[in-house]
Amino acid sequence: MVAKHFHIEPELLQQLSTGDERALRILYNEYYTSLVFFANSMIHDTAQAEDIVITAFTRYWDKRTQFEALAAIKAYLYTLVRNDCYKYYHREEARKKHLLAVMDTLPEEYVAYADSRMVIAEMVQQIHREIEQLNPKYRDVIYLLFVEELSIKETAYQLQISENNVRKRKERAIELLRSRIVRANLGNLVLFYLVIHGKTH
Amino acid sequence: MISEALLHIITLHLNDEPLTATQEHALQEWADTSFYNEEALKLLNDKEFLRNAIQQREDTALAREENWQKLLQQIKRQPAHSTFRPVLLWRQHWKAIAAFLVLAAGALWIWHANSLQQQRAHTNRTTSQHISPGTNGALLKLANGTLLVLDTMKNGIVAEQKDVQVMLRNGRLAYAATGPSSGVPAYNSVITPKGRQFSLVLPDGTLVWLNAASSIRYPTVFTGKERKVEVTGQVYFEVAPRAGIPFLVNANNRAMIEVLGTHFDVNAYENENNIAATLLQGKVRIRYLATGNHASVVLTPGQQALLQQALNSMHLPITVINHADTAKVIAWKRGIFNFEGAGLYDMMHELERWYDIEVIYEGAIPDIQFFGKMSKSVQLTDLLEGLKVSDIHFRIEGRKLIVMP
Repeated sequence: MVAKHFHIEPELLQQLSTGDERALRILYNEYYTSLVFFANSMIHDTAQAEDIVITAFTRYWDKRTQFEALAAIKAYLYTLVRNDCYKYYHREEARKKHLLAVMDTLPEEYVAYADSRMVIAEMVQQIHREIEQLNPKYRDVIYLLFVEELSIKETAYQLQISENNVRKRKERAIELLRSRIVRANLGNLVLFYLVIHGKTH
Repeated sequence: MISEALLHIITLHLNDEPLTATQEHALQEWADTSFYNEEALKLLNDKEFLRNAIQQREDTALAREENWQKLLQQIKRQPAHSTFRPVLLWRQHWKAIAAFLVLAAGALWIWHANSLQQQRAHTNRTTSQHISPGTNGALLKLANGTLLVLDTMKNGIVAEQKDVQVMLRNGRLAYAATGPSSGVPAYNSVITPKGRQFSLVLPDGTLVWLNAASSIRYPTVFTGKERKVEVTGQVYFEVAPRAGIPFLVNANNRAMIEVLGTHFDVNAYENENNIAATLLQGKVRIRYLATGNHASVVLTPGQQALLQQALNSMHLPITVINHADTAKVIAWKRGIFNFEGAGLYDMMHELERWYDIEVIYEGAIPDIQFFGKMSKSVQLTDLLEGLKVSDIHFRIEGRKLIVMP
């Protein structure tokens, strides 16, 4: 949400740098899930991924006066998480091979891999957010049909609406998302996920 | 690093929207930069990958609040503008231990200083055998008594029964009516042994997740004025709302939970002292099976009701905990062990169910408290390596884990 309201950015940055926890909360809500998702895609361990992300936020908080843009904060958080994932991964590898050494520099290969997973994490966030921002009437249908993979009939049962209604809402939801393509701009991206599904279902 | 402009181009590309020459060029350049970028583009075009990714984000979001509290505690401990790099306290412990060994999942263990001193001496030996963690799977018991093993079955129709088809879709069981109900209810059961967990969609659309060593019995078609199911073990429900048709959960033949469209967890393992019902959304009423509604309690989201399993306990009041740690309660659904504040005995119960082992105590049960979380996908031996640090002595014989004094 934050990235979409650029007019509030200076205010938010101001609050962050003065140590306002409510501002941190906004930032946290904005980035937490994507960072955990990203960390998880690097190390495949949810508990450890959460641990790494919390640590990244505490380190950012210590340096909070040094940032002049939200994009810079996001980049910093991603970098901290990437590096900690590498340390974790490397420690695990070392343990398996009974090595004690820990490398300080990240191999290029690892950085390239991490970069691609960051893009995935960000794209998936946009998709997820588009679902969440739909009117609940449409969102629930989309969630049950595409995420829980229920059939039209099961979705109708779950929501206590007619099957025809499920179909109508699904179409309307996809329409809403398509219309966002037309007015797509940097801060308002589109849910291709549903569009892809819309073609096949 | 991530560029918003690039994300925008990828979005357009995946939507088959026309790209300008500059955009086309930028996309191509990015994809050519590394093999992984090319792979990422393919993954983002893959339905199944995206479905799993969204599902994973949904699950991740469940612990957001819990971890926010943790973060808040941590930053409050730090003086403003500290020159020290802030590190979570529990991570420092973790790092100290990691000098000696690291759990495969990076769990962390803090132990009672007292019990550490009391339990000195002899080092323990585990055999080198591997006991693997549990996986997805279950048994399906049909109305005619036939038992089907669902672990290895592929997507498709699993069984045809009177009036209904049972099918598997992405590892989840679901029902479809094949004709009008003949009115006589037929019952099916899904049973997870130790080392398995499973999810299904009941005929009314209710979503159900079963933890290891659990079961649910339900009619293949819900008819009449109520929807009644029976459960044992630990089960999480997302109940489909039905005006005027309550959803009733009989837990362990001991507690009755009446539901009005909601998300909740029942933990009714026979070998636990209490039956715990935890509400995440909606509203439930809970009572001892043997008593009437006058002795019931109504839960609001975030509350947990505890009913004792001891004989004659139905005359005791039901305990209600107001701010239950809901993320901890449903950690199992997210593939995590959450041992925050758990004693050894409680922890071993969970390990018994997930690794299909039996835990035997040769002496008194050590009084140790654990903190931390870990993935449920680690090998038992790796997990036990971590326990050595807290000075617990044990040995493995077959599938028996023997805790020595």
